[in-house]
Amino acid sequence: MRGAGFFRASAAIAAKDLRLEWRTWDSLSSGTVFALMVAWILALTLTPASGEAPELAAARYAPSALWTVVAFACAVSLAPAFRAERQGDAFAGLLAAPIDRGAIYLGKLASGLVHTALLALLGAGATAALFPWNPFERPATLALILGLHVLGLTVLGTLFSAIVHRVGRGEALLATLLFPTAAPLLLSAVRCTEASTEGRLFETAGHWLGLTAGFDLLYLCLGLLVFEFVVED
Amino acid sequence: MQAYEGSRGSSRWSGPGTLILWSTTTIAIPLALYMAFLYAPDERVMGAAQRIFYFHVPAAFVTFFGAVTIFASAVAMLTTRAPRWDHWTLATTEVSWVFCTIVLLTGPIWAKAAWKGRVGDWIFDPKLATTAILWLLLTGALLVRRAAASEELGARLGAVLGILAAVDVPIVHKATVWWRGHHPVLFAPGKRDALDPRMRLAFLICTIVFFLLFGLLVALRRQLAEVEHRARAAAERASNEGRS
Repeated sequence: MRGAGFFRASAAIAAKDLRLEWRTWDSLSSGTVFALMVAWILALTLTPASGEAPELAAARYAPSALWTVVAFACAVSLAPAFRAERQGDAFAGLLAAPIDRGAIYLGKLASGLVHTALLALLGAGATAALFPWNPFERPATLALILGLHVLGLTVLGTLFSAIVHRVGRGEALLATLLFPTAAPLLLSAVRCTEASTEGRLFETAGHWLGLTAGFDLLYLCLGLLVFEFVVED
Repeated sequence: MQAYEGSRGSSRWSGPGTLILWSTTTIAIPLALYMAFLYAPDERVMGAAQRIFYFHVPAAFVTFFGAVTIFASAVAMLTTRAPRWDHWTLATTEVSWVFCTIVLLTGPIWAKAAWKGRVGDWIFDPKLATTAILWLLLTGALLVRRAAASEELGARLGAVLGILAAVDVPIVHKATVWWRGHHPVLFAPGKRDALDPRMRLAFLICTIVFFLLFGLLVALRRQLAEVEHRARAAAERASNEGRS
């Protein structure tokens, strides 16, 4: 298959998924409510110790709270990625199409990335509202951190969503697979967010950014390679 | 997939290799117990609790070696689609899971004696965190296998998850080292002589025995998987003949 056809097929699948989402708000509505609920529970429970300044406590807790929200929201919003194709056996039609299986993965990844990026922004907004903490002080570094880590979570989440879809399970199994595999991403995300709010992202967390970029690239290549084995009949 | 259903296993239930491995391991286990509990001297600071070292560390070696074998057999399974490679993947995944559980159960016992700290002090330790995550990854792979509707689908998904898990291990380790770490460095150059020669010999023998046990369990589990596979194929053939 020629390169242009590969990307055109991915773009068509992504556009179809986004159009469907725009008309139904199926996955984003549940993801939004879930993200806000997790953020609310974390804000209620992660309170300063007696005598501790709320800003100091927030600097300690808020990055972890943000990434807990993002991780859960990713699991919830990516789980139904292949659900739309279940009706009328549409997935068999997708597999029968004369396109590379990797293009299906890339298309699903692209539409999933729109969901998860929106939810990550929402998570940042929610934690900024609920904790005395402002991650938006440095928008460029925040965008870099959110982009790199959410990409990694979506790369893994889309692949696991296909696996979970194949065995007919839901969010619980997706989370069981996603969270341990994404552990390095989540650790890196928290360290990068901490460094970014201190204004020293590249000095203190440069190595984390490198690890995450490598992780994203490695798992993207693995995803493109193994997706075929997951979906074939 | 025709290649999957049509093939036949070639090995018998108990080949001469398995028999030799079985008898060697049976003789070697009491020897390892003797070395760990009677031959090796008491450690000065930790006392008897340190003897868990002869089981904990070899189990950890075997677990991470197991991750390598899972990766190799999973790649072989996906490229050749031969059921025998799936039997290897299934066997190495399950047996590695067992050894990983041993590491996680013995780790805290040793850590409590060695570091005398609260739980929070060792829960973030890189080696422990990496092992815990590997345990979760292996559990996930086994859960997906169990949930799959057919043996062939379970084999493919199990192999995919095995590859993803094995690739993840070194990255998780790097990340947890950077996060925070204070696991005792056992075999750093220059530190080697701190170990009593008797302790070193006991440790060496325990490590060899753990590898033997791993090999034996994998061999037996693989043969069992093959028998299960043949039994399922026979049952399918019988039901097909009954129908036609």
